[in-house]
Amino acid sequence: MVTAGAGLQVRELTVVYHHVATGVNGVSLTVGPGEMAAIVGPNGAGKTSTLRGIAGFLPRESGAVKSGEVRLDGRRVNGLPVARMARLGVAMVPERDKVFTELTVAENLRLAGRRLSKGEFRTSMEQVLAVFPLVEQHLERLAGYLSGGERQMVALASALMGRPRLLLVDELSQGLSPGVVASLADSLRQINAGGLTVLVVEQNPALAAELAERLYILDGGRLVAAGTAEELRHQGEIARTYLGVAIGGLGANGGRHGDDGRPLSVQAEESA
Amino acid sequence: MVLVVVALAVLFRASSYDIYVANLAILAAVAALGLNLLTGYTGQVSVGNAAFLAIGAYTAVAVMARAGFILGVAAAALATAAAGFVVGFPSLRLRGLYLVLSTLALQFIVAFAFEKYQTQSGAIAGYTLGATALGPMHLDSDRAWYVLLVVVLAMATYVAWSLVRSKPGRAWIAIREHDVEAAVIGVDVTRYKLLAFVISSGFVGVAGALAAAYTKHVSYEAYTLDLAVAYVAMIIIGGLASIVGSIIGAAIVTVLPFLITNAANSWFAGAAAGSFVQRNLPFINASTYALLVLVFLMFEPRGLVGLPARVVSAARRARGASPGSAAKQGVI
Repeated sequence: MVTAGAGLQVRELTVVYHHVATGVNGVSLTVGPGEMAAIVGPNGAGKTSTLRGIAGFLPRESGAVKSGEVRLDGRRVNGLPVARMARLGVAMVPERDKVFTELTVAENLRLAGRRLSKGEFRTSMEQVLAVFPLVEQHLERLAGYLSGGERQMVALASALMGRPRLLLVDELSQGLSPGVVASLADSLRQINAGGLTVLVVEQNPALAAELAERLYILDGGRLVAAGTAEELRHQGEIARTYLGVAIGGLGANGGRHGDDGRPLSVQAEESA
Repeated sequence: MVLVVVALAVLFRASSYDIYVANLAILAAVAALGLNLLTGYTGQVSVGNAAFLAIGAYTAVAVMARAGFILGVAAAALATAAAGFVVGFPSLRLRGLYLVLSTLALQFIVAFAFEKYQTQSGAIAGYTLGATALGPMHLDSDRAWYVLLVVVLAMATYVAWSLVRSKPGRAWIAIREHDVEAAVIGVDVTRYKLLAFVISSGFVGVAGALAAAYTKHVSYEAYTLDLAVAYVAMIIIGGLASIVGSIIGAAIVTVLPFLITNAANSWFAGAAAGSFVQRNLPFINASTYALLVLVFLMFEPRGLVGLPARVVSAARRARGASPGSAAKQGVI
């Protein structure tokens, strides 16, 4: 959290599963140091694949980055094993299996911060608990007994324990109640304000627009549009199709007004 | 504390035969502890245990005669750990059934190699070891061995206990749960998997070497696949990922055949059924622990160490407390 955020450049990233099925097709995106960006798009758009392609976290043998490159502060990092990426400061909160359920919360945090010295560990712990005060109450509980929201907090807290320079979050709000999502969003903003670069995948376009400076819209594995929420709002068709009409204005209820029957509006409504 | 009292009570009260059985149980417990680190904590199922015991025993045979007992045990630990390192490599790519098959290959390779070595070196009946001397002490009785083995088990327990409560233990459990996600937060999965194999087989190798020195006899026929499976049974019955469970499971699987034999001898003495039972004792023994394994897998996957928690939770439910709170206490 103290460390300055890294800049991320992704160029023409293509992720292929089982050598034939293209999950992501030539996606480019840039997240400046200390910025927060979001990837939005309907189910199957390639959001998660993009994130995994960046982190090197693709299912063993079945998925691979076929072409393109990922640069961290200008250094080419694609193809590195996922543990190596973690050591370079890329932390990822996956969509599933985000905590180790058979370890306590404290053990989860210790596992994530195990390369730190004693002093560093204590500072990191203090900083992380300052962002997620709720986590402190559950330190001795098994992570398997936590609710979805609590797990998400522990997962974010674990990711921060390793003092990353780039935080990748897959589905911040999925399956969580609006109150919990608001609190998580606040925490994420606080983390980002501390200088950490954040790239979040988010199904709820309104939340994404609220959080991120730049949005990347994916559909069918391709980048459809990119820009600030303000810029995208003026691209009528795209705004209506992918973001819901009320983008940037109405907060978490944004998707509600997109009643054109497109799938995304429906999803936005569900997750809002 | 309780264990110390039990250990002393056994030392002074038990017959020499009982102490012999206890010694076998302790030797099994050392190996079971090692196996549990690998299978229980790290989630890597292996049936290479008999092979590792054999490597430990044969190394002991080779080294003890020349360099003495302590160096023999140390060499056995190193040799088996090295073998474990090699065997660990397939685990980086294989999991589940495929990993079991790759450790099964070790079993057959080692059995074949030692059989050839033994028959071609003219030691058809196996190797006999001389009396063991530990410095000025002569380990010439079961009781003397018992003292040594209790100390060894205490040390092994302490080492295993410290490991699972520190960095390696947390990394192992994380790898067992989901290894790719463990790598995502920076756990070096390769290193910790191999470490688990090395340490685990080191434990098994020490047990193999001590067993060789204790029984004073080593021959390849002893290291069967059955034996390897018996060790897996120990940790399932005692409790996967449990230090205490490894010891309890080892004790039960080791002592059970003796109990059954004794029971058969006293109950059926002279009876018509007696000779049938006695003729089939090996099968009865084998099926008893097979049955135990099945029962535990189906009804108490946590093993014997899970039982107290289950009893506590049942008692709480009976008293009307919420089942959730009891369950939370239960899983450790």
